[in-house]
Amino acid sequence: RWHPSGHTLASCGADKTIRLWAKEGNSWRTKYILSDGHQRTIRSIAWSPTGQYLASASFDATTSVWHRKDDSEEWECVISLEGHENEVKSVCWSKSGKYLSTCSRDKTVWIWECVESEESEEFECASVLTDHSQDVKRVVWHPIDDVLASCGYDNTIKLYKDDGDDWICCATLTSHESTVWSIAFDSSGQRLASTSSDKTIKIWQSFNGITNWKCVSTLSGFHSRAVYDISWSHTSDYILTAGGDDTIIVFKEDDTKSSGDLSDNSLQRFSVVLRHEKAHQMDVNSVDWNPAIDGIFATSGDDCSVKIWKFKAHDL
Amino acid sequence: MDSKQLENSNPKVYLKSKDRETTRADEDDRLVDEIDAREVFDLIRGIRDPEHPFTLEELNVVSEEHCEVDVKDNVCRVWFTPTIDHCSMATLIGLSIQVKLIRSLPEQFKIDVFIAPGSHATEEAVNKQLADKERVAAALENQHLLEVVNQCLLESF
Repeated sequence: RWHPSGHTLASCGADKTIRLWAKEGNSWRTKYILSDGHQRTIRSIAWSPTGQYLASASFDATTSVWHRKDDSEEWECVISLEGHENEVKSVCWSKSGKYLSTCSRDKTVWIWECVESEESEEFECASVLTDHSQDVKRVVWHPIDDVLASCGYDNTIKLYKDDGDDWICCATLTSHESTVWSIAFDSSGQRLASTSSDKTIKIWQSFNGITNWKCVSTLSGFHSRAVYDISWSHTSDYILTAGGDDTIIVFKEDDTKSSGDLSDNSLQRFSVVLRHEKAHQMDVNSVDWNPAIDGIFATSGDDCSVKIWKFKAHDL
Repeated sequence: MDSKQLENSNPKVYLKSKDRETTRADEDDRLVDEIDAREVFDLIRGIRDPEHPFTLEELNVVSEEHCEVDVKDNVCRVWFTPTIDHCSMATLIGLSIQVKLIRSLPEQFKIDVFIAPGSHATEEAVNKQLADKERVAAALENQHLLEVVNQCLLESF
């Protein structure tokens, strides 16, 4: 996952460590290894919006928060969040930096509130959401508002908001026919893309607020196996997907003006602008557009490698 | 009869198939010997049933006809038939087959293990679980479960 500045990349894996990578001259090197925070596989990592903190979710049922020591390259684990009954699958910070969310195989989504205090970092559990009926795979915050989205093994996507009193599930998106592995908002937060074991990618559009979503596009026939991750660039609007077929694909929305009849946004078309088979030797598990530097993205796979790509859009 | 522990206390036992005959081409090291269905079958036929002293082949859980290899796309598919249609060991048997193949085949191979259509009450649920590599990975980090799986694989060759 990219640091908000776009200059550092963090990766995690079954070896229970997190590696921080940065460019040195013309090559990328491991700058620091964060270890001893977890007993089992680290499934997911997320940077805080300011880039000062890094959170990691592990199969050991805990979530760790790491902080960079002042004036040094070193990172230390400042807190370990416990509460989930089993494997934590995903972690994400809200755009405001106020909330941290985690989800687990125990079917729950937790929202932690970051309480600022002098010298120490504290997190209070703000809500435990039990709306999913199965393993929850991913949590993602809205790019602008404090709205959370989650998806999982029960084939659904759910959205949550704070109704003043507590967090509530305000929308359930059903259409996928198998596990939903990942979700990504576009830069406006008006649209959401999701990927699934049913080999499709779906684009959802919100109408009149965040409670009313409609599937406006289903991209099928592009991946031949489960689609594990998606990244929607907030600088260029390109959508990047990766799957168990070792392939990565970049999609771009068709210019609706030239095709005329799509003014009501009820149907949207996307075209493939790049398709790279054998992007990795094995399954591709994650993709992430660089948030600051246009056209750069990172991928990682079961083949234990991380790759950094430069994407040039040709004028179509 | 001791039916307290065993779900299927009196399974039907089938004859073992003959070993693969070695052909002259097999001994010729210059020829590329691609992985085929028979080879996959040979890898999994000796896996033991979790509750019986028999192999999956002897219980007719696996057979050569239900193994498929696509060398071009690096895909290996295995369909297995639980001994009874409500067998609670189905996921464990599928997991054992998967682990054996993950350990034996080249790592680029995609391994799909399914229940033979119509042979199990919760076929879809078991298939979905076996296809979820994240849950399989988490299961294999479970020390107890890993021991049970290794026990099943002990004498398979």
